[in-house]
Amino acid sequence: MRSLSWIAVLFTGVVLFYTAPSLPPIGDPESPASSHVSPYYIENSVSDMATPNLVTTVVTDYRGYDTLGETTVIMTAGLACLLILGFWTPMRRHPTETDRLSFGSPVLDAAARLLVPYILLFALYVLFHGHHSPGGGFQGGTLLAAGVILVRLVRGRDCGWGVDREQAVRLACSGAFLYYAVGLITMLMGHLFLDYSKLPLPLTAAMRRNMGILGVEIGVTVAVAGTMILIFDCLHATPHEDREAEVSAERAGAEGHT
Amino acid sequence: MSLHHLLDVFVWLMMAGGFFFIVAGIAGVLRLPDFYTRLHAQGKCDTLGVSLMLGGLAIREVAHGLEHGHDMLGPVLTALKILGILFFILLANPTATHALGRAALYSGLKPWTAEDGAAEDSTP
Repeated sequence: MRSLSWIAVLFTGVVLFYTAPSLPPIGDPESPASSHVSPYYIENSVSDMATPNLVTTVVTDYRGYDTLGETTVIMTAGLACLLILGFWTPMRRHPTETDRLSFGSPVLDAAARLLVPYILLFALYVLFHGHHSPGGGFQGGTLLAAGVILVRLVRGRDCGWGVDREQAVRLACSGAFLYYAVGLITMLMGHLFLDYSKLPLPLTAAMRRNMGILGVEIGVTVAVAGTMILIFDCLHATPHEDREAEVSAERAGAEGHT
Repeated sequence: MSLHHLLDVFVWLMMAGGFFFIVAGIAGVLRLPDFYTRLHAQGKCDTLGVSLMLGGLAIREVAHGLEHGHDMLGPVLTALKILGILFFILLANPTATHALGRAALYSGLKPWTAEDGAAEDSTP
């Protein structure tokens, strides 16, 4: 079995080394990638959807189906973590002693109080400014989750703004659903799936597509944030009940030591 | 000797100071005997060194704008962004050091003491 995996690795490596030189050089204007669709994106992104950030338009509009799949994959990854890691801890349970124990000290508490509002504000900035500058749903969602996880690390599970495991699953699923919902609205209006220019909004076609991108980005943000919190929660949960007594004893010992 | 020359002197002093403290922090990590002392060296020296470096960069941005007579809005904006980074590093770096030390203490790592040093010296 081990030699078989070595053969597979070596074979893949040889194939990669053999084929890599025939790839077009980076930044070659004659390469297929930059001679068919890229000029169209560069010329029409602003007039099509009033959005100067090419990456955002390509990711969420020109290739919106792809990002829909990615969002679903992220949600599925969160659910898989829940199934694998959270299998031994029942879904609904009373908070145990370990959960209430927070890691925090006065220093951490003060620093988190100062940092968390800025992290959350920056998350929203990255989300809503994704049309104009680097950023968007995935980055914004990660920052949002980082803020919540920081609070939970410092203050314990009871102070995570109530974003426990069930809420995290709800967030992850409703974020992915929001993406689908934008597509379904355009279908209900009698047009193609995810054709934002047919959204029922009293705006120009370009601005309707702009708003469609924003709706989809919010969905991605919610899905990513929910998934991150869910994975953290699964990793954080202690499967063994006797671990609680152990932690309490260690903590009492450490307090005595200082 | 105009204003931007004076600012450049400040920039060089701050950058050299930052360099010194970062090197001192690395030396501390390499030379000190246990986790807590290394943490102490790295936490303090990195915070001070990086703050001096970033402060120097912010002043350098303003001095560069003055030197070339640009519109000052851009350089001042960049300098303010660098100062923002500086503020968050000043907050987050010592806090992270504190959290690491606390976690090590809670997980049962015993601090190094003078007796440990004496024992190490006596064994060849």
